[in-house]
Amino acid sequence: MNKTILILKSELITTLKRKGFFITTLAIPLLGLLAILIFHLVSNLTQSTPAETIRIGYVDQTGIFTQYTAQGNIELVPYSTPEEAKAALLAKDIRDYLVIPQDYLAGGFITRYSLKTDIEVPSGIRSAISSFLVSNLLRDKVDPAVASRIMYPLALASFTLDQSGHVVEGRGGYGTWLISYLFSILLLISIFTASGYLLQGLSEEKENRIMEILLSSVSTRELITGKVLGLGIAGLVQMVIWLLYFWGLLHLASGSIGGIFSGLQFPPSVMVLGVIYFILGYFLYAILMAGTGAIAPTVREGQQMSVFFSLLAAIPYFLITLILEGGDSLVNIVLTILPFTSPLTVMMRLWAGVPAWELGVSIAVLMLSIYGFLLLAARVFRIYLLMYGKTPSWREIIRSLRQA
Amino acid sequence: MQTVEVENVTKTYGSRTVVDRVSFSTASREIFGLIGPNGAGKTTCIRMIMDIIKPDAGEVRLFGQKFTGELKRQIGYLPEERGLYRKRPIVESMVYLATLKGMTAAEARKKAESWLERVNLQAHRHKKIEELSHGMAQIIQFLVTILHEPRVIILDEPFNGLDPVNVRMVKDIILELKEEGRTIMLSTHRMNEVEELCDRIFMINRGQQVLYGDLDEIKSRFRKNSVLLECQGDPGEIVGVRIRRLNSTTLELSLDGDITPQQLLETLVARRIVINRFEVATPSLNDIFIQIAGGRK
Repeated sequence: MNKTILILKSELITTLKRKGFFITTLAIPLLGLLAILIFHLVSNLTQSTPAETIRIGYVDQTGIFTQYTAQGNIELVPYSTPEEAKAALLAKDIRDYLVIPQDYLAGGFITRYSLKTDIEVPSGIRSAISSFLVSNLLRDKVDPAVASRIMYPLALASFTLDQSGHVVEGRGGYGTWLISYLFSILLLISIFTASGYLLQGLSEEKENRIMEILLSSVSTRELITGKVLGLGIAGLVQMVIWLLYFWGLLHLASGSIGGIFSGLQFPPSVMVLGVIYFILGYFLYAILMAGTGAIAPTVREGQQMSVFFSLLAAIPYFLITLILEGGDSLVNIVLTILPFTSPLTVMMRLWAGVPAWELGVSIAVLMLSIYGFLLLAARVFRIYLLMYGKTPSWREIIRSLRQA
Repeated sequence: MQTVEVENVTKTYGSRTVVDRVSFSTASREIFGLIGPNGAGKTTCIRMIMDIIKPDAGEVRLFGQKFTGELKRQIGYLPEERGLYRKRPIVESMVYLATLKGMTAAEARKKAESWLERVNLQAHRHKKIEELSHGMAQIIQFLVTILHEPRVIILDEPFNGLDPVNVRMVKDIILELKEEGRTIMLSTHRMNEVEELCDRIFMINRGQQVLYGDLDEIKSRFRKNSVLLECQGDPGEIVGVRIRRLNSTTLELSLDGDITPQQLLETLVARRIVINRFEVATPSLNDIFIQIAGGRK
C-alpha cells in the first residue's frame, strides 16, 4: 500500500479513536439539543404557572397618578405617606416603593426604596413604572391609541431585497447574528482541533524520537502529506457531522422556539462554502502548525508557539459586530481576502450575503497562500525535523530558511 | 557483493563542514564498524546513507543503484536517539512501522509475534511501550529495525541501556543476521564490541576519514614492536631491548629493529629464565581510537 495512504489511515484511525475527538464531535450537537430542551422546559414551566404579581408601592404627592395601576403582572399600590409605604415594605407587603414628589413635573425625579440591592432597576419594573407614569400623564389629553403609540412608537420589521427587488427570506435579526457566530465558532473549533492534533502528533513524534525511524522509512513529503490528509479527513468528518446536526437543530429550533430563529433558512450555499472554507482553512493552519511542530522541540513548546496562529484566526471574533453590520465595507473586504481571517469572516458574512467576486478572490488568495506556506514548510521540515534541544529564535529560523 | 557505497560525500552546515569527502563501502555478510568520537560526523553519514538528509557533494549508492524511496525498505535503521509510540500497543507499533517498510500487515504481525517469542517478550505484546522497562523498550526498538528483513541493517549504539544478558542476546542475533548474508553497519563507542563483532571498520574524526579497512590489518599496522613478559627472576640486560616494568608482575620489553620477538624468546630460554607469560603486544582498538581521536583533538 502507498506509504502516504498508510500514514493517512493510521492518523485517521488514531484521531477517530481519541476520546477527546469523540467527545468534542458529539458534545457540541448534544449541547445544542440540551439548550433547546432547557428552553422548552423553562418555557413550559413559565407558561403553566401564571406570572407572580409584583406589588410596587407609591406615594403620589402630585395627585396625578391615580389610574392605570395594573401594569401586566406588576401592581402599583398607592400609599398616603412615605412612612406607610416604608412600613408595608418592611412587612414585605410590597417589593419596592416610589415617592413621586410634588415638583415631579418640573424635574421628573422619583425616589425608589427597596430592600433588595439591584445593580439597576429590573427592566420589567422600569418599563411598568414608565407605562404607569405616561398613561396617567396623557390621561384625557390625547386619544388612547395615540397614547399607546407614544409609549411604543416603533415595531420595526426589516426586509432584505436582492438585486431583482425580491425579499430575501431568512436574513437579518438576532437569529442571523447568533447563527453566524455559532457557525464560525464551529468552523474554528473544527480547524483547530484537526490542525492541533497535527501539531501535537508531530511534536510528540519529535519529542519521543520516533521521527528519525519514520524518516528512515518514508520521505518528509509522504509523512506530512499523510498526516495532513488523515487529520483533515477526521476534521471534515467532524465538520460535516456538525453541519448536519446544525441543520437539524435549526429546523427543530425554528419549529419549537420560533422567535429569533423563525423563518431562518439554512441555504445549501452555507453548507458548500462551509466545507470549502473548512478544507482551505484547515490546510492553511495545518501547514503552519506542522511547521511549528517541526521547529518546537517539545509538545508544550509547540502548543505555546501555536497560540499566535489561534489569535490570528480569531481576529474576526473581536470585530464581529463590525463585520455583521459592515456589509461591503473596506474592513469586511480586507478580512474576507486575508487568508488568515477569511474562513471565519466568510462564515460570519455568508448569512447576510457576500459578493461573488470577494469569495472568488478570497478562495484564490487562500489557495496561493497554502502553496506558498507549503514551500516554506518543506524547508522548515528539512532543517528542523531532526533537530532536538532548544527552540530556535526567529532570527535563527529566518537565517536557516535563507540558507536552506 | 557491495551493499552500501559512499563516494566522496560532503555535508556542510553554514560554514561548518560536518562530513568532508568521505568514501567507504560495505559488503554483504559483513559487520562493518563506523566509529569515531562524539561529533565526528557518524550520524550525519548514516542519515545521508538513509537519504534522510542529502549530501552537498558526492554520492551514496545502495546495491549499485542511486538511492530511491523503494530502496528504503532494504534498510533497517536503529537510530541513537530512539523512541516508539508511547501509547500504542507494542505489537501495533511493530506492525505499523513494518508496513511502512513495505511488509503486509498480516506478514508483519506474524513476524512480530515470532520475534517477541524469541526474545521472551510475547507476554508483553499488547502492553504500551511506556509500560515496559527501558531495556525491554530497547529490545523492541531493535526488533522494529530487523522485523522487515532488511538486507542492510544500520545500528547506532545498539547496546545502550541493555544488561549483559540482553547484550549477549542482541550480539547473537546480529551474528545470525550476518550469517544470513546481511550487512550490519555498527556505529558505537564501545571499542571492545567493535573488536568482538566487526570485520572491517571506518573511523571518522572531524568529518574526515582517519582509518579504513580490515580490523586485523589495522591492528597489526598499529602494533608496537614490544613484548609483555611475566617471568621468575630478572631477565638482565639484553642488547637491542629496553625493559620497563608495567606492574609488579609484568614487564614491557621494547625491541629495536635488529631483534625479533622470536630471537628474544630464544635469548630468555638460553638464560634459563622461567617464563609465565610471553605475549607479542597488540594494541587494542580502544588504544588506537584514543591515540587517533585524542591526538587530533
